[in-house]
Amino acid sequence: MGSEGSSVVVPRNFRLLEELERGEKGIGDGTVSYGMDDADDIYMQSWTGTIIGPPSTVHEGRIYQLKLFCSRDYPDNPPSVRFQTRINMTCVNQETGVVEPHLFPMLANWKRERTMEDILIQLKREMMSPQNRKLTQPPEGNEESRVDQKGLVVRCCIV
Amino acid sequence: MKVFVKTLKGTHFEIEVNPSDTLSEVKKNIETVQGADVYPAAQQMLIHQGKVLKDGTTLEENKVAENSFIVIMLSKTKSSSGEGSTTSTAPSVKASATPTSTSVSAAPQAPASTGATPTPVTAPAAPASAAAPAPISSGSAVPESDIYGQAASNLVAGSNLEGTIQQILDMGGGSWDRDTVVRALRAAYNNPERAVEYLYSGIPEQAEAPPVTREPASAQPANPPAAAPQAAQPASVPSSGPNANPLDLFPQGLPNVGSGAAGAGSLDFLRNSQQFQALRAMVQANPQILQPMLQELGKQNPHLMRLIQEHQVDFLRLINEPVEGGEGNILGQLASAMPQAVTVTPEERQAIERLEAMGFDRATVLEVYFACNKNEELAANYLLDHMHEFDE
Repeated sequence: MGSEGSSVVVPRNFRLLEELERGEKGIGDGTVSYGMDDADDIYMQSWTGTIIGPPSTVHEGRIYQLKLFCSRDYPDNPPSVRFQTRINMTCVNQETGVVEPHLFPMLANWKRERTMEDILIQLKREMMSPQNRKLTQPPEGNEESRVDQKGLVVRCCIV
Repeated sequence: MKVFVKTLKGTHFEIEVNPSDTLSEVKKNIETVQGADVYPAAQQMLIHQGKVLKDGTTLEENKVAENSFIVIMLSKTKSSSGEGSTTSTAPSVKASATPTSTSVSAAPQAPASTGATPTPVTAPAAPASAAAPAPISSGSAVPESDIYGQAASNLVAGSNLEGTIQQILDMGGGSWDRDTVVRALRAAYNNPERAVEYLYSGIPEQAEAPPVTREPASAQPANPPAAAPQAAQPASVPSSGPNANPLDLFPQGLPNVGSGAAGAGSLDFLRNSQQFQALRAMVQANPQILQPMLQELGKQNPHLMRLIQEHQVDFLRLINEPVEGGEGNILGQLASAMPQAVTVTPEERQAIERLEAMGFDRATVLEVYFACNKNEELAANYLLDHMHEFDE
């Protein structure tokens, strides 16, 4: 598809549908996986992703869940990425789990050709980087606390 | 249907499942196909489209379609509980994402607590209403009229006086002398019962003063006048003797009589006289007694009688005035007697003050409070329930 040259601009919906198909087909090694949060969302904005911790690192055996939000201007602008599972990484905000664009080069130097799968793969590579592979990770039991807070907020909003 | 299962090592295999199968059954299916030593069901973790599939859900619920792929991974034994929590949080993530799907990234992390608690409405205070003291005064007036009516009927004069004195002397058994009995009778306006009461409890000070100013009694008793006395000179002094004036209601004499002025002013001094107030009360209670009292008064005090005749209209007006002074005196006596008869603790005094603050008269509050055995709630209920009675 790249052979057509840069003159062809793919619309947003076609791009997202293509990524959805790739997510469902499972092309790749299977260590990263992603899909839409809600299949009925016609704008295809909210996505969920999973990264399996790479071996030989402190992340081995862990499964990290992420939230990716593609706004209307995607793929011209990068999506916002946030870890649902608690993780200790240099480019991730400890409190909110948001991946900081100024600390993550792929988000800072975003290109239109990048995909959400590329983001997940790059995050997995970042886990294997020297400065992140030996960082002490928070206990896995803390996952419930963040989700509980999230649920609490939602319940309050609903009320 | 057929689904593909990919492993972390890059291999994949196919399994035959039904959309209604639960994840537990799928894991057992994989264990059967691949062997228990390679993928034990207890340690399997299945991931589909970025979500960790929960054991209790079905493939249909997780939107696993035909020819879709699932990633399989083995969890360590020590971290299985942690992964379990991950699986259990999936439904919460799903539920929480739905209402805020358009602004997930903007969702506030800190939970906003709803501190709005409805303040309980305080019960309105009981309406305060003033209770007129009329029932107390009317209640007090009844014994007053009874006392004076009885006193009028029991008044002795003339030859009966000697018999009464002798009976009181016999009753005392020699403990009282004749002079004391005579002074008691005079202080009680010749009421035998009241005189005996004075002998037992002591003659009041204000009633004891008049006999002191009199001349010492002679040894022989004086005979009461049987016939109508002739008109004597105004300057003549009445005959002395302890029994000469049995009905003299003004033994002190009349103050400022010599300088008597014309009009109502000349009779105003009677208004403050205690004896006149008693006379007025008796006359109001029993009007028939007025004529005999005036006749007796004419015998004992001709000067006052002439003064009354000169201003007959003023005298009648004074007689018909309401007994306000008497009421004040009686209520004052009740108030002065109250502290002596009843002792209250500080808590009881505060309760009485609270009942008074509700707008009731103190006398009414005291009566009801002690009638209810010093129970403040009962007293308050009684006062409120019977407000109409107190208002009458």
